[in-house]
Amino acid sequence: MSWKLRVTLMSGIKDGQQIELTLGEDGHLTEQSWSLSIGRAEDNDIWLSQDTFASRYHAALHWREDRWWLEDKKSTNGSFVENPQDILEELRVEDTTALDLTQWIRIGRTWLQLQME
Amino acid sequence: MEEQVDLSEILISARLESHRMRHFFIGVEHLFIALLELRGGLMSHILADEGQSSEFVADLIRRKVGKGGRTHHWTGIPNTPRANVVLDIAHEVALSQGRREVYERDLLMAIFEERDNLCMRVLKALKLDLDALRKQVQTRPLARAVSQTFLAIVFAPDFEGGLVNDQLYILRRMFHGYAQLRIEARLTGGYTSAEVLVATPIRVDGREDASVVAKIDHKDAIIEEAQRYERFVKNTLPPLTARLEDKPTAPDISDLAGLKYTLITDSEGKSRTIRAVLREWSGDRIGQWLSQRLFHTFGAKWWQQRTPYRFAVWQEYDHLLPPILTLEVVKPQDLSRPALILKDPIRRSAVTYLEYGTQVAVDNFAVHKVDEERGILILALGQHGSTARPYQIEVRGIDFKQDAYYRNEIVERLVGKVWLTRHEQFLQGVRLLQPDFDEQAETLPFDRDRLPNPLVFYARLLDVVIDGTLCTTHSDLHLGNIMLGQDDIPLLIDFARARDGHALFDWATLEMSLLTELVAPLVHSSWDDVRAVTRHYLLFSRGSVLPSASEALQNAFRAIQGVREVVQICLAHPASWHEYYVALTFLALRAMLWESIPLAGRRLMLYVAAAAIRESVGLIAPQGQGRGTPMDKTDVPASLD
Repeated sequence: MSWKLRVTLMSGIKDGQQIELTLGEDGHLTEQSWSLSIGRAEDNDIWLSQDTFASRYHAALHWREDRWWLEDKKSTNGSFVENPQDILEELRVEDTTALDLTQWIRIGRTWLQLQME
Repeated sequence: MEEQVDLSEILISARLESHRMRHFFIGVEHLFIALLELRGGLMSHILADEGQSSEFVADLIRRKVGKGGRTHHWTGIPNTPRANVVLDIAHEVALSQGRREVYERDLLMAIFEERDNLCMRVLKALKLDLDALRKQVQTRPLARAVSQTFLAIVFAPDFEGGLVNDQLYILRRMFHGYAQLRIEARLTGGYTSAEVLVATPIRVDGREDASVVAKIDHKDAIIEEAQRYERFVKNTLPPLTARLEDKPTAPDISDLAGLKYTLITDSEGKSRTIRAVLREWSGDRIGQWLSQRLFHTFGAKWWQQRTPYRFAVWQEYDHLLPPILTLEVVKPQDLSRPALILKDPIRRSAVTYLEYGTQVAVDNFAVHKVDEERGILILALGQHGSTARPYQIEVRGIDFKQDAYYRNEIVERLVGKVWLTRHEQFLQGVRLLQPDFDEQAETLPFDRDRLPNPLVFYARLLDVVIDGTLCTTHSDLHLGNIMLGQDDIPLLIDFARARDGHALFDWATLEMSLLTELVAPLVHSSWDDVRAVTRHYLLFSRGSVLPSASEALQNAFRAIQGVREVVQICLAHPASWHEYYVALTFLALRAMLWESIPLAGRRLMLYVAAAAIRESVGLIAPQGQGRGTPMDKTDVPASLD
């Protein structure tokens, strides 16, 4: 595997912006996982500064067991993933869910696309 | 020379879109929706070729993006980084052709080129081939510049009435490429806004192609019908039947759209609905045809594949009733603290007697219908197309230029002043019938006897839980939607409401249709006559027909008997007919408010509803004690004549 994650904003005023996250430099590392925080507060790894629908500490991405997981941090408006069967439908994340990188995820009003490098 | 739309014009409409969505920035989605909304635009034509309406695609994009909040933290209306990339590409495309001005096609090319955006994702989700679309964007001539061969529309000599311009326009689009179209006959009319026509297209060389059924209706309804056909109907039809031919024609600049069904004719080459033969056929023949032919042809995949289904009556039947509330939208400067917040789960009792002018907030309802012309929005509970949408709320006075609303959107909050409650609407409906009784009393006079007043009891019936069955239903199975084919085989049309629903609903709809077509015309409008016919109907429901019933009435009951035989098969519990009477109650209440039915018919419907409630007795816990309460079975006299 490679140790870079590229997150691209797919909607909102920052649509098109890319955030590159590198293992060992960004986020939080334990023996089991690499974790990245997402939210409206400035100290998040993925900072959604302009999304008023995002909570301050909204969600987290975890790399463990060879895949990415999305955890909702009891956010006000919820975290969502596209339904792989019908990507026009979205599924609310209760607690934590495993991700397939073809799925987009939605935090507040911002859609995000993940890519491994 | 092609007539061009340049970038500045598109940007103006993109800004409006952004404003309506409360985004206050320009993103690729706003540019794309602006392109979709161009009159006679390239993209809407390309989508129309694929059977998609640009409005529908725009709404999917809006739904995916979501509306912005009340606050934002920047000034002006900036472009997103991705919009800047797209605009740069568009300029390059223009430059490569030696132009400084960016046109519609350049911008569309750029959005397809950038590829990685949300709009393209929505097109892909619709199973559209992006490469093929991109090629179309590159090469399709602009429709504004294309001279279309003019389709002449003529009417068969015995065709009555005419068509309005909008309808002619849709027909021209549907039969584009032919030289002439001959309108042979009109199939329905009546309760819906839809126009259903039999039409024969004639080629340039004068040869005629097979006639088809062309249906024209509001765009939303047509697209919904095509989708429901795909989802519920297509794979469950018997081998010989009307099928949807083509994808819907939904041009951008009209509120109407069209669909084509294969034409079916009977052995004499005529296309007739069962409604047209009602006077020709005996009641026996109609009844037998319904219970034998209709039930057995469609039953195998529909009503005979039932699964147990326990539901609260409101889930299946509330949608037949008038909106639970009619509100007038409150302007932001007039907002006060709402007296009531309506959200799921709904307590109906809280809205029954609301005062005129009370401010009510409606939270997280789905947009069910958008009527831009009249400034009306219909909201309802639930967001999935497969279920009937209960608890509709009509909101008047919406300024659609200020706020965008799109089908199935969940509206976080809308505040309105009470204009009319459902209760008032029912009272008004009954007052129009000029009652000779107190319309608010618990019971209606019924000779020496009384019947429960539906206006008092329908609400309690809505909360009853039914053990019934679920299957694919047509959900608008009146006599005008059933056609006769070769050797009188039954064929259904109009699948706009097909869904998985209560199995008895279709048959109750048929009974109601027989009542309005065959029984209502026999009733004189005096209340005494209405009561006399109701008494016969009540007795018929219990298995006996009095000799004092007229021959015409007995004939009508024989037709209805066919429906009842099917119902007997489809009841969840063979002896529990209340499952059926509940459906009849709400269908009768709906028909009572239809102004297209003559006074006598509507009066009869009120009494049919009352009789049906009487027959569902036992479902509703009596409010009083024991004997004498209107819902007590002992109240039914032993002899009704």
